[in-house]
Amino acid sequence: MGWWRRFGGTVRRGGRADREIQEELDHHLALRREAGGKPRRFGNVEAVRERTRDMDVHVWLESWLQDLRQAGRMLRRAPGFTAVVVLSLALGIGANAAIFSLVNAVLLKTLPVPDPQQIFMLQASDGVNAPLAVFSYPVFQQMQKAAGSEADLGASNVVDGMPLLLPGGGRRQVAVQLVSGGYFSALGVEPLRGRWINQQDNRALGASPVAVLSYGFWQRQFGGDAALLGRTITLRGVALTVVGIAPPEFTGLDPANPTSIWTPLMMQQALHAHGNRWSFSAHDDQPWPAQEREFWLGVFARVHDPARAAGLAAALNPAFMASYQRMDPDHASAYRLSLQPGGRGGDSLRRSYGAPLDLLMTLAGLMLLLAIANVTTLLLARMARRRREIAIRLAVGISRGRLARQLLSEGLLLAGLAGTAAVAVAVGVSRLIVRLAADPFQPDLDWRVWAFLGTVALGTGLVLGLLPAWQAQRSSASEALKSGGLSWGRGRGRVPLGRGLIVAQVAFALLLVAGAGLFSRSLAAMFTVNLGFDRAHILTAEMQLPDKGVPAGQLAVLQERILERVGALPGVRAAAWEQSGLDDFSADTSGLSLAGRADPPGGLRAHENTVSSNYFDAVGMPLLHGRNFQATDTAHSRLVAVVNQAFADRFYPSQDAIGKTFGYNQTHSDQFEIIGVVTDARVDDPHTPATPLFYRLREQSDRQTLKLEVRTAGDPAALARAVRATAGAVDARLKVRSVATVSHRLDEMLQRDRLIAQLSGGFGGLALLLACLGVYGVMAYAAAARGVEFGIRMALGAKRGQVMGLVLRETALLLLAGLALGLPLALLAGRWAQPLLPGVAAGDPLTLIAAAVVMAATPLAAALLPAWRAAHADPLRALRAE
Amino acid sequence: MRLFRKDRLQGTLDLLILKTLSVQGPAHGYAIASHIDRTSEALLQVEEGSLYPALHRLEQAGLIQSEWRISETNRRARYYQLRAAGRRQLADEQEQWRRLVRGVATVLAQEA
Repeated sequence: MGWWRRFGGTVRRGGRADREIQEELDHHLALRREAGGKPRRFGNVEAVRERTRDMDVHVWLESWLQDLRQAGRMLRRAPGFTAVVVLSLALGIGANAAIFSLVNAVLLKTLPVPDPQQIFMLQASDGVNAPLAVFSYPVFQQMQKAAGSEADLGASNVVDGMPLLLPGGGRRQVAVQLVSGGYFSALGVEPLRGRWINQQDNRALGASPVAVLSYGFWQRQFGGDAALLGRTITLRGVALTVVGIAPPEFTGLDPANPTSIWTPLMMQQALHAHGNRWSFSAHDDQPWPAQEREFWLGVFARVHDPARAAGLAAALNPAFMASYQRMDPDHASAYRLSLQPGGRGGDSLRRSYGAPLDLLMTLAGLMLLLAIANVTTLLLARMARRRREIAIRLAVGISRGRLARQLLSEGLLLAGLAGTAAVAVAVGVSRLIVRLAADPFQPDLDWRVWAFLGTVALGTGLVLGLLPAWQAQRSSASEALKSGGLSWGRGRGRVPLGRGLIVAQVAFALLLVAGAGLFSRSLAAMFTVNLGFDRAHILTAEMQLPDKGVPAGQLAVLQERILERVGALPGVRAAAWEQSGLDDFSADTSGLSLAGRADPPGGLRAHENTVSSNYFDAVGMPLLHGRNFQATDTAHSRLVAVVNQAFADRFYPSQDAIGKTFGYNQTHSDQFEIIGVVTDARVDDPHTPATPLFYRLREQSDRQTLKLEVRTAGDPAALARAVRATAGAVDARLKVRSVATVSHRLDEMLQRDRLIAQLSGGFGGLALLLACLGVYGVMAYAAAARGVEFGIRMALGAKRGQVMGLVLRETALLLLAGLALGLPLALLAGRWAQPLLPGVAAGDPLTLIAAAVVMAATPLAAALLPAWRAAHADPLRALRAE
Repeated sequence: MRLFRKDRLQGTLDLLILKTLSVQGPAHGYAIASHIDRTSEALLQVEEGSLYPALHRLEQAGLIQSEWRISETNRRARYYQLRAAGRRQLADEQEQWRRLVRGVATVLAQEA
């Protein structure tokens, strides 16, 4: 209430308040003079006026404006200082906001559905192996029944790259999601046009050929044509009626992998849609929805009371277990169903970028700390220069509170300017990041980012304002006046905190420079690491079967013919077929049992690949023991397998793996004899060492081997056209879907490493620049302040070199202290970041030494100029100035 | 209102100002100071450096109000006068003051 009255007073009386106080005091003094009073007790009129004035808020506001204007004047008077401060802060704050916009998009955003906290993803885990996140349709139906009214379940299977016939002819690969009837109603989103896919659409196999399009796809491919509803599109030869359009914000459960077309899961067989799945000897060519052995559906639940999620998992568990027991009796008992919070949607981006973003956020935070330390140093040095001015103002009666407020205003004004500039920096940097990263980032510069930016700017302003204000509180007017303003004196720090801040800056900057070095070395290591095969000379051509398929016998003959023809091309050394590829994550995972041994709970897991017999020679993967596949291994001889070293080490430690047998489970008819061990090739991911993997022979497997690996003598890219033409010419039914070199694909997979290396490199460079600015600023001030001392020294015969040495020695000491603090920090931080530093040790001495040398040499060079100036100043002028 | 009990000395000045205004009616700062000076037989001399901040504080707290008038010497002066809240506050403070004095006096009156 009181506050309002005060404020009302402000509005009513406006700016006259100051004058009124003056008039009131004048009146008093006049009466006292007339009364012949002694000049007593009133004391400092100025101070009384200040204190009286402070009782009124409107005057308070007025004086704030005054302070701001004054701060503005001070900053205008020192344009260089202002520019450096605003720029460093803008870069610091802007970079933080940009990285935060990524954090916001990847880690904080929730799915665009009502009550996202009610969405949970189902998974089954044995606590040892990677959890099982796909389920069969019969199990899904059982679970939906068990959930009753407590939760609505939805199921979907994603198929990347199904061929869609375009209106103008030609084909296009689109991402399709096969969904259960309750998928959309459980999510609770409304269609933009038409209707969703519903329970009616999933009543019988292939009964309802309908499709819902994503908004983006509808716009891009059909120009947002409203008349498309009710018409048909042709997906892999099947005509689907478009019944609805999704709203713009909804692109499925994994925003990083947007879906273009949704269709009922009962269309699986008709569309030959074979997405990711786990199979327990299922019949792939039979309709998947009907098979209990085909685990292919990701399942989510909308739990109406999220607190009941655990209870619900227990209620669904029996339905899952009853079925799983039949699939995998050896290991089923170890599994347990659980519900994982899914309100933030699929986590493919979060998985690969979660840790890097934490790291980048930390680096950006360090940058900001560095910028603040730098700016504070400059501010304090400037304050020291302003001591006399401040002393005079204190002497003429400005209150300490008011002085502190003025200094605070300067800090806030600087932060305000920097915050404004930071908006531009944030927008620029986040655009740059999107360009650098190949992954589908959509950094949203929404209110959260701006709130973050504003908070950081405000906090920065408070730090920048309060520190000098605190300094001013402690300084004594008389002392400052006595000492004549220039009082650095004998190298003792009179820029209080100044030295400490320089040391801190050097330490932080070292951290960032070392980080930049480590990440770029790690990136370089990834480009040269031995992957276990001939990465530089391999071309991969992926073939595509027609919708109707090709009979297995014919396909084998055609593929053999392709190998012959491509192998005969000039410049080609060898060619082979395989199922999974050398550079992707698509290798099947299989549960295994070793003959004559009890399995651990949950069983053993290994990747599995099917290859043609000459595969290892063709891709340059050396055989370590045993023998290769050979002509005597046929469809009718006993099953054989070649395993990698990791497989042998893990499952047969300190034994010879050759001759041992294993199978999918103890009773399964397929039992493989190990005939050879090959080197550990990083076929999944260049970052991580190989995991257990076994190779089956194409002739002994029903898996399709559609990837043609071609090893060339020279540059593989030069043969891309010839390989495409030759392989595609053998039979009209076998088309070449894509041709790419392995090294090109590896480049793409190193996108993330490159992004981190580039950003940390940018941070490192900026850090170095800021540290140089800080050192230059403080040393320039220190040298100027010691002008008198230097003058005397030179008058007494000191050489210029000696004076320069004085300044440089002081700088060097500060730098050394900073390095001594920074190196252990860098070692610690490196250990923390080690998981993101494949191929290089976090404590890599070469990188750390190089960083330390750069960190020592560059700022020392920055101190050369003030040192030279100090040595060449006219000693007489310096002495006279005192 | 509690504000004024925090500091006894500051509270005393407030009490004297309020009392003066209740006895004298509207008065400007100099008159208030002179009145206290006179009636206390020069025992209490008001620090003018504290007077004006106190007057403005009391006004902000809604205990007194001010207006510009032409004074008896034909000059513009700021006159202060009690408001209802000020009158209540004065009664309160006076009562407290008496109690304090009585308490202190009783303690001091004890024979050794």
